[in-house]
Amino acid sequence: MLFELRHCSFSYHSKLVLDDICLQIGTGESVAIVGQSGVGKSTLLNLLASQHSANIAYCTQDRQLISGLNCYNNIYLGKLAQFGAIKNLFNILWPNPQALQEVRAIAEQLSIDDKLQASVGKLSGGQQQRVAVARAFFQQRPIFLGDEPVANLDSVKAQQVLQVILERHQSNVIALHDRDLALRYFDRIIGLKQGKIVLDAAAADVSQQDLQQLYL
Amino acid sequence: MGLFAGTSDGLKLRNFSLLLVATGLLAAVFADVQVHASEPWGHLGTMLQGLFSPSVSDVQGLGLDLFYTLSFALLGVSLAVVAGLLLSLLYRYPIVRFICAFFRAIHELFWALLFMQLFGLSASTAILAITIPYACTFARVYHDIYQHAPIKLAQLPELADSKFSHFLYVLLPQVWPQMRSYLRYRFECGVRTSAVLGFVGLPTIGFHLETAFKQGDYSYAGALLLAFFLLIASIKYWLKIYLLPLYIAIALWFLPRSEFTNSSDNIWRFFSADIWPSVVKNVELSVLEKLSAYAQWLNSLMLEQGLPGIASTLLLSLMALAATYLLCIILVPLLNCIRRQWLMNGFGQCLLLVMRSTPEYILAFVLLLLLGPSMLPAVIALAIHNSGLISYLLQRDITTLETGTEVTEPGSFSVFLYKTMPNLYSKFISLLMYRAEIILRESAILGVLGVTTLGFYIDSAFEDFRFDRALALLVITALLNVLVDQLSRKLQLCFSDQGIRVRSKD
Repeated sequence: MLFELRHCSFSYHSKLVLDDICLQIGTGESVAIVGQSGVGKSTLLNLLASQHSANIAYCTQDRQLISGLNCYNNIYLGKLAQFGAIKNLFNILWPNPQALQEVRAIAEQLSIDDKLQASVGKLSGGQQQRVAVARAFFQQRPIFLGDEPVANLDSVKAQQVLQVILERHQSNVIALHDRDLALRYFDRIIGLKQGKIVLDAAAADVSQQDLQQLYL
Repeated sequence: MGLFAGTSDGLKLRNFSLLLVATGLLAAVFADVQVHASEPWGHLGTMLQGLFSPSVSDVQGLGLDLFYTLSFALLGVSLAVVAGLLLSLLYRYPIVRFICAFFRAIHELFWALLFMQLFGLSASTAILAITIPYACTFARVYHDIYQHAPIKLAQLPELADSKFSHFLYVLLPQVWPQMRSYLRYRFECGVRTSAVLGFVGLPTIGFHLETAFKQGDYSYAGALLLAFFLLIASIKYWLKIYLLPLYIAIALWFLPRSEFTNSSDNIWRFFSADIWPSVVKNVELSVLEKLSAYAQWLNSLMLEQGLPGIASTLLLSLMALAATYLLCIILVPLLNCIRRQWLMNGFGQCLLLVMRSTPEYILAFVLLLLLGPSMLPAVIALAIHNSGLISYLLQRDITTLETGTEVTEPGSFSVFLYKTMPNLYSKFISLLMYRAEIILRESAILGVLGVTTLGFYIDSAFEDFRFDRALALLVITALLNVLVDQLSRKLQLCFSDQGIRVRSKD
């Protein structure tokens, strides 16, 4: 089993965020987590992320982009720990050719290859989001955890990026607010309401009405 | 209603302000603040006449003074920023924090007096005198800047392997703009310090300024001051980070070559023998006897010089703090009222520039010539410089405050009284507390000019080659400064918190 939570609860500032969660996710699954905002999706992802941190590429909601760096270096940051201090120092002065080639290939897939030299602070919200996704890709990990990784993209771009995410990773757990995307691209849907799992079923067995219930 | 509620932030601020002014006035009762000169106004008239008709006979000499002033500042600040950057990474260790606080507390002029015993009147003395305290200041400020980086290292745990890479990729890019702007500000301070170093004999603009004033050559003094202000005002146009290596190379190439030679034996003797009192060096005494004799020596030094010096330094600081407060209270609303009249505003801005660009030391020196020897010149000098700086910073905030909001009558006194001042008052007090430590540091150094603060005793000890006394008094001065710094930091935090609370209520 890839992830396993047994009767797991989580409080933040004495407020119960997750309440008695039991969850198992196997290798190769693509799981969408849906529910109202503030329902505990990010907390659940954080809990999962702590289980296999070495194998996970985690794209958090706040993107964690460094405003003073250009896009290339923001993506390169994904493998900072692998390259060592000297290589990192030289890379900031002159991009490492091998890393640049890899980053360029990823950037092309996400249609941001023309922005590699630009400072991330000057990009649109959607472009910044794709830089954060690209950083996760660059880490080349088998598991992708994403917290609203396509929320700022238009519908066509969101579908393209989501497809690439799912293609590149063996297992995916992604929090989404777009119910159509959840039903169309994922094998399994987990619905959260008031900190509890109230829906856990194969996507094929879930209808729009079922999801609607989560938002009432 | 809040003002009379008893425990409101407004009431606390008001009480603190009243306390500040009251202690300042009380200090004035105990201090000598008399005018001892016979004809100060007449002398001022002659001086101003000369200052406003600047003339210079030796242009090459003036150029060289300016070049050395800049070179020392450039090399001193460059070395300091490198050392400060390294120290800032170690600043979380209490021992590093204490060493930095201690070294920073010793004024650049004191460092210069100390290094002069080792390296004479040389470029090394000037550069090191700037580098050491500035490196410690950089360490503290850069460390503070890191704390405010929006994304912390802990938030990127999957990348947490190499601290150096983290610094390079995560921390530095986020805080670089603040670090760069602080470097510029420090460079400006470095130029001012470098100029003042001339007063102890180093070949910078201060040296000729002192001579010109003492000889009554006010036209030349005027030319020197004018050149100095222009230099300060022009920094932002030519100080580019990418040009620094070129500037450093030029400064190094043309540094003045010193005739002074000092063998390593002399340096060793200075540290092993000169700075210790004779009782400690007496070989016939046991360690315990030496310690007891040293304690006795220290005790009598404290009674004769340390305590009177501390008392005078604190008196002067309290008076200067109160005077700075009062001057700001007059200046800020006045400048705000004339903001809409471009001519008056231009005059106001020039006045602020001159006030904050002229080092306290130079102001005190000139005022001492005018008013005679008492604490009054030092109080006025400290108040002028510090209120100029605080008013400038507050004015910048007023403009920012008004751009984001709908102000029906920008610049009107009512708006200032009911909107601007309530919003900015806590910041004003917090800025004043930040300057308190600097005022104390300067109060001590003004003793070199003859006011009987700690600096007076230190300077006299150096003049008499009593390095044992000089060093012991320097340590006392530094410890006093560290203490006041801690206190003013606490008050500063207290008032800046209030500021946040007041703003969040809005």
